[in-house]
Amino acid sequence: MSESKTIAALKPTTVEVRVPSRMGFEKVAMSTAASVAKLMGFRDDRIEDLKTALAEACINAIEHGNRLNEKMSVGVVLSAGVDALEVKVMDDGKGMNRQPGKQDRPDIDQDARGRRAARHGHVSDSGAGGRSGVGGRHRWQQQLCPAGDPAG
Amino acid sequence: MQNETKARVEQLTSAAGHPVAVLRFEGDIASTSKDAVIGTYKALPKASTPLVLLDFTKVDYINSSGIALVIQLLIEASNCKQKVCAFGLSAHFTKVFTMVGIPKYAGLFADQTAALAAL
Repeated sequence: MSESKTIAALKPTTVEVRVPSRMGFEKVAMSTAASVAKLMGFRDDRIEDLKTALAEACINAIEHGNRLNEKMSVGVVLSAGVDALEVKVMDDGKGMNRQPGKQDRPDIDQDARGRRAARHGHVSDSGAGGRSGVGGRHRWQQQLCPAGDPAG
Repeated sequence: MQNETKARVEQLTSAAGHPVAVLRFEGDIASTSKDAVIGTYKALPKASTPLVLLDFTKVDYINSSGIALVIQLLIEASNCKQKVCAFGLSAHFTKVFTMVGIPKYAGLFADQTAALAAL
């Protein structure tokens, strides 16, 4: 494929990767997403944003969705469209047990995890998440040229 | 899968002539990096180390758990009245560190020369 012909210019393409629920394997998903985004023509800084957003989504799925159960896996689906890359991250778990009314003990680690969601919002363009009976999912889109981006 | 975090300490002198402890990190900074980040910092003699530099030049990957460790280090340094600066972050991680408010507690610089000049 010539460098001037990107995947997006040819036809919508989907790439799927499944990684074990083990810390560190989010980097496999990151590398795959970075390759797809590069082929689509994303700028380097947008690829770094994508990698961070995807890493944090995968870590959430590994840690909170699958509760670090290595028998479970995290699925990542990268759908390359004409002007955007849609990313879906899915886990197999039931998620966290929340006890209504119980106040979590605040600590620095929890604080940083809370910031993970906020940070994710700053590096991705739009997103949604949810949990069904069979697992959790997180989906967002990374625009090739985000609205209002003078460099886009 | 994660690159082990390595940390070493080097003693330098700032442009103003003050002793500076430089913590040079290598590898990934993630949840498994507590000993390398916090352990190495805690081993510094507090009384004789009022200035600390964090070198991220050889760090490729920092996730939110790694950032939590850096924040923990900064809080402990603040409690000990130490001044901390960091350098060697990529443009992306400079953005991420800024996003989570780290510049309120540590100056971020492009390289060691700029950081030492500020101490």
